[in-house]
Amino acid sequence: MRRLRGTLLAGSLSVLLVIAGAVACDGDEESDETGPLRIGVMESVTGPGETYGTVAVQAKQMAVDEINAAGGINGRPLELVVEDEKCNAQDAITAYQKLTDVDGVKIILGTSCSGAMLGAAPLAEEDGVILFSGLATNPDIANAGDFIFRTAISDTQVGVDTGNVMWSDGIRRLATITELTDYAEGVRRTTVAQFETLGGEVVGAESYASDTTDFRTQLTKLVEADPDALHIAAQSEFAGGTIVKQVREIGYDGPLYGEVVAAGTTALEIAGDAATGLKVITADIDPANQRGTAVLSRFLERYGYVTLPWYVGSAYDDVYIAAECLRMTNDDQDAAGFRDCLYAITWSGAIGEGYSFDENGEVVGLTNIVAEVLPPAERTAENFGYRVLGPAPTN
Amino acid sequence: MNATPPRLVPAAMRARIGLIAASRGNVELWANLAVLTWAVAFLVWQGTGFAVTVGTVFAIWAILAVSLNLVVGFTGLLSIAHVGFFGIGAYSMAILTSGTSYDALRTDAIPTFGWPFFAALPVSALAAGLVAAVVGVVLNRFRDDIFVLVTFGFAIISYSVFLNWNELTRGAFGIHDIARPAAGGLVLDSDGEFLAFTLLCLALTVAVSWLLVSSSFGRVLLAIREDEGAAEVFGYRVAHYKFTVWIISAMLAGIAGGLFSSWTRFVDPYSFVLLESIVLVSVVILGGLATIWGSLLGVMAFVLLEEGMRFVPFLPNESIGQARQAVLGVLLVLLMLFRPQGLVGKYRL
Amino acid sequence: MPLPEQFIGRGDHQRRLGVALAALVIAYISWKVLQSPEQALQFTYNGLSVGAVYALLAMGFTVVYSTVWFFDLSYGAAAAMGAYGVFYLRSQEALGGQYEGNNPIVNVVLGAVVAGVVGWALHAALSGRLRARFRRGTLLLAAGALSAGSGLYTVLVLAFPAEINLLLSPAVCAVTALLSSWALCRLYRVLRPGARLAPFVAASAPVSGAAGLACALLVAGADGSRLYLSWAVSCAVAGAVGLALYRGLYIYMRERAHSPLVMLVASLGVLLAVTAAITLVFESAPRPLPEAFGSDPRTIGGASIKGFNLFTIGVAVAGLLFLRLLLGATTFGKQVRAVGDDEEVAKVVGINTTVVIATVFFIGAVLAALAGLLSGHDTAVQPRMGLLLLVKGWIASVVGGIGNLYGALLGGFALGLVEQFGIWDLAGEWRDLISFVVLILFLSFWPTGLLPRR
Repeated sequence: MRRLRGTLLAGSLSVLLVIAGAVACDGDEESDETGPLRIGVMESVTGPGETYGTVAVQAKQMAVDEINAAGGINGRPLELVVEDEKCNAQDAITAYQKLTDVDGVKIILGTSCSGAMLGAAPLAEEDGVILFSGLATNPDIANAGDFIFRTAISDTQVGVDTGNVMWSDGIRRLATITELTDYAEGVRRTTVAQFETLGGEVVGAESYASDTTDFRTQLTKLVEADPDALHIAAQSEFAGGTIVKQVREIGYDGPLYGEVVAAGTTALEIAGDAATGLKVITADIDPANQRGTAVLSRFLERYGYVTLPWYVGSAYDDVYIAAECLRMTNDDQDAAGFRDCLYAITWSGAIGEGYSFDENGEVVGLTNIVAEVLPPAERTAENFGYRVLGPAPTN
Repeated sequence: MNATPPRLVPAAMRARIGLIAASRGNVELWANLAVLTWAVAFLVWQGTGFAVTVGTVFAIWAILAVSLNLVVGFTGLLSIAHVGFFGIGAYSMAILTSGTSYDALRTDAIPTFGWPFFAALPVSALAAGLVAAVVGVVLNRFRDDIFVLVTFGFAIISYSVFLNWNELTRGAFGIHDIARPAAGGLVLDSDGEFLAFTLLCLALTVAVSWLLVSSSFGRVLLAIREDEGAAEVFGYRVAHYKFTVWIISAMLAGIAGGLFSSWTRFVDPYSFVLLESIVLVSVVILGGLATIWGSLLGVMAFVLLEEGMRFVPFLPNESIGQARQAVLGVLLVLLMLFRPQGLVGKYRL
Repeated sequence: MPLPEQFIGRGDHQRRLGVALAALVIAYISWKVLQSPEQALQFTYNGLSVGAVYALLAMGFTVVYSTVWFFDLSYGAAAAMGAYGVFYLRSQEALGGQYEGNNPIVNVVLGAVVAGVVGWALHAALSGRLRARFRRGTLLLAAGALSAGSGLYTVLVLAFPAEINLLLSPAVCAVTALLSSWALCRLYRVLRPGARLAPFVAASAPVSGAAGLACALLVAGADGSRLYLSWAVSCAVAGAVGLALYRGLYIYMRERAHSPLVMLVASLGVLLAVTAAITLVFESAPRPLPEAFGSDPRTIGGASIKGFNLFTIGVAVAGLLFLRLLLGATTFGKQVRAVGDDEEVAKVVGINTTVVIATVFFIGAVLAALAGLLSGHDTAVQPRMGLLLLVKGWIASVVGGIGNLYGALLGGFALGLVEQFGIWDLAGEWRDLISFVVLILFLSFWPTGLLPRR
């Protein structure tokens, strides 16, 4: 018995080794000239960024279907390979390896979350794979490398704008509550830095992990510090909405500020009337932008809902930009050509007119706006529950 | 194979019954066969690129499982705390080797040391061992299910520290740019080289564990597991033995942690949640208690289960981790019902 | 297995150290209270609100543990199932139905579990009495039909949650009629002891039938009742699953197991599988439950508390009273204690231990489910809440003293308060750590808890 097992083991192990060797010698498959152009998509289909990831995947799929319905790219259809990065670096790396090693794509649209982007970006830069995000806003991404691009506006800008808006509203004592993620903490830090530069004082700061559901203790401590306003930097709409609801429950009635997450459709549903008057500083689609509103109405028609309009537009535009560049290179394995095309391109799409990319791969030519959440009775699917007050002030 | 078939049954039939009975008695053989065939099939199917990733995951988990088996299987202490030592090793490596200076405008800066990998790896083990010593003093007071409960507590406390000690661990943001093994001109930077190095560490772990359990020390551990009181009566200082194996196991887990963070080049607290620990214990029990080969087999089955499930047609990609966890849970229940010694184990829980 | 035996070397100096530590904690809290009474009051309200949930869990846990003497980790799964049951049945009312998902597999599995439990209950309760009067085949057929019917009914209710009040109104009618008939009989017995019951039952049948019908109509007509019916359904289903786990699984393992660890690992497997299944069906992100009553804050003495939280505290106290009555004043309670003291002896003196323990598992799971759904309404549901709540329930019962119901209530509230006051100066994120430090301190210094088991 014992000997049998030994033989068995030795046999299996040697077969294992032989096959490993054989597979290692295999060459890469040749890509053919007429098949579909394949690009990877890495978004947070699950995890704390799921709302964004889902919206982004849906917007991208819509764009691809439109492009293919119009005859594809140089006659070749465009094909997406979707992986879930679960809004964290580790899963982003796994997803990245699956996309590049197993599916063999060289151009990846994504990610939804900055943490995931920062996890996968060093690998992509090393392998010469394009990472092109419509949603990741962390400022570090600017320096992530030559192959890393985005149409999302950096958090640095959101933070500076938020600081300015609060100061000009007469806020002098600020309390902050922040989700422990790169995105939220980045927003908080830049906001606080700008606010303090202007002369404001931060009287309380609390943070929470992504799966927290009970914020009352932290909020109690913040409210006891007697701030003029509370700034909420959340990553998930669930947390954003719940914080707004719970802070009103413990009796706070001062002004609230946030960024786009706190005014997402889900967040507003959770918060209900508590969110009325919440001010958000965010990138948004200008109602005057015909292309943007058209994309949103097509999205609504196709999926039966719209949320996070700017991200719908951004993810949608990314596919069209990618299609434009693939039209020029006609090769989904040519990441360098794609990169050069992005540096050169100037685009007018759903999220703005005539924007382009600077030498860091950052988008230039887009601006943030200030919006105020409407009372529940006035919230509709068309206005997303808030009204745009205007572009963020500059000091 | 107790029942001799009645004489009326024809010879061919008798042979078949014999075979079935033999196979039933040989769950061990079948388990080995199934997992190894599966491994080979998987390699053929996927190719090396992805198999290198899977192999590294396997090697790191195997170090963890073998070291945990020293405590759970050989000594009989069901510990859920192992992920804490794994995390301590990972964070030691991360903090000591990461050279990135973080932009103070956005996240907390943490001290940077810029050590090389090989200087940090022993520290990973030592740090884990040190914490294990402190925890062990508390844990030595408890037995059976109370022991389990307190190790639960340690797993949660360590996760809480990783998550909240921002000045040292950068909390939820994690630490980037962790060093790969490099000494002099030799840099193990590619994934294949790293896999080789990890397998070497696994081999060392197995060697150390084997020497430990086959020595007289190991026999005392077995005695403690079977009857702690009796071992004490025979004059062995039970607490001393339990304490020693506890620390050795934690140090091995620390090494696994160091390898893990060097491999992913990024750590955050979410890799060290309580659930990971529960899953790890489950894998050890699945493989078999008090057997080193069983732990290796259990981890192989577990890793392949996930990577294999990636290619199951009806399962959406994002559900794989959960589906595997569900399978593991059901397996655990079945094992406890029919085979409390695990796939290839000798000792029943 | 009395607990104190598991601890070694508790000398006098250690007891003194424990007392000193306790004094330190009390001094710290009173200093904080003096520093800012208003914030202290707010923290007290917050602490009592979460503490009530912990207390409910601790009570159920303690009852189960002191009957079977192993750590049942699947208890946490029952808490998560209670909360997700409400989410499953009522998610079309939250967030515009965005996360509504009805899964036929889930419906059928739960339906099968309910059918099995009903079948077993019929067998355990009636077969002994009826066997003499009817033939075996008839009995089997009737029981089979009844259990299959109840399984199908469960599937129906789970599959069409939007009309849950209409679907459940027959059940409400039956339950109310039976209850009122039972109550009337009890009353009659008290008023006219020794009189024959049958004529009275026949005479009072229209009355109780009318009461049942009235209740059914009331429920069917009121849309607001849906949420609360979903509470009942998810508690009942979670209870059925708890019972089924014991009767279908644990009972066989307990016969063979050498150590309580086998049971612990098996129930761990159940917890893993159920948590994973919940995540598969509902995804891992936290979700809100639809709004229950009492969500407006009310100010009492300078701090705010939701009406719903007051209700939760009330439920915890009511749970204690219910369990006290059940375990202290009924035959069933005596049987439970006998089984907990010595199962073999209980069996020898003629107690049907299987039925007693299975019922205890049912009650424990219902309490856990209730705690889970109350916590879900207060904050949110998420798959790993089962493990978190389980652990908190454990700690609370250790703090209160395992096996003591008053202790469980006290321990729950104490844990809630200590968690809150503990993070007065620390960041809020250290809360879980604080509760485990409390656990380790208690196990080290006061292993019998605040109120030791009598």
